[in-house]
Amino acid sequence: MDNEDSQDKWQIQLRKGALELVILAALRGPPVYGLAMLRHLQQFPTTAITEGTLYPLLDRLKREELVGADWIQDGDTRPRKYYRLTAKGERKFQALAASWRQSITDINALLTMPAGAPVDTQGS
Amino acid sequence: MINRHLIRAYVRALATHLHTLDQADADEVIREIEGHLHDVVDLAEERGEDLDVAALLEGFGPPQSLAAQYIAHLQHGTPPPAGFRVLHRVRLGVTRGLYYSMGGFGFSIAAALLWLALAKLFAPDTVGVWSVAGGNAYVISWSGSPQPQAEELLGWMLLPIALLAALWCAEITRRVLKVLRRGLI
Repeated sequence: MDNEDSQDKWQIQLRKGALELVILAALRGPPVYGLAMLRHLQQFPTTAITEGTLYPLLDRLKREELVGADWIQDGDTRPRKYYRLTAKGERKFQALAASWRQSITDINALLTMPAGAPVDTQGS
Repeated sequence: MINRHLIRAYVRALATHLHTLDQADADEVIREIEGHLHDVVDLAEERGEDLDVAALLEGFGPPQSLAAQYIAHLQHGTPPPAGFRVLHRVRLGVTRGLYYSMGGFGFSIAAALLWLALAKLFAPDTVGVWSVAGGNAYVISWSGSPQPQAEELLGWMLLPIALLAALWCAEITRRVLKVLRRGLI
């Protein structure tokens, strides 16, 4: 039971750390509104976040000028706030993605290489 | 037909907890959250599906918690340095004192101006602004001309002018209090 709790906490921490990267990655395509982005993220078990997490985070990213937002009315539908990546957001995304890939490479290497074995530092 | 009563109640509660944000920012947050909720309900109705609105709202969390995330940057934007809690308490005390005294002062002036306008309406001959001492001083009097030589200024125009001044004073006070309220967080 404790083991499961601790694994859940680890998953939450991991998700929390990667969330900004996940949102920026989801916004690299055409502008997208909150509900559509939520449905997109909920397709993947480890990025399935709630509305209460998504919207305040989008608000923060907007204040940090990493994303931009515009209200758009498509036909008879209710106006929706569409988000897009800004140039600053694109740069941040590239930096975070590179860091993420480096971490994956390093951790994968550690998973197959116990301490004491010769270390290949090629990726770092 | 899905009952949207819970959505309206949730949005109202959220609006209350967002009062420390600028009005335009708060309105935009509410508009977006409300739009999301109604979009989900509309979609369920189009598909003829039943929707648990309470479960939908659970995804957003309690209105107070959701609002707290939006105003977190106001609360944590400039945290006081460690060891300076006393300064923080003093600042909070000063802001609170300023908040209540400003509110009392501003709304009292507004109320007095409103009272002056109403008094002019009901007792036009005795209430007015008078020029005395050969135009070197002005007196607001409630009991007729303060001096035999005094000349009444404004006349009936006092009523709209006092009303507008009361509204202006109340609005300015409200805006100042809104800014000061942020310091009370």
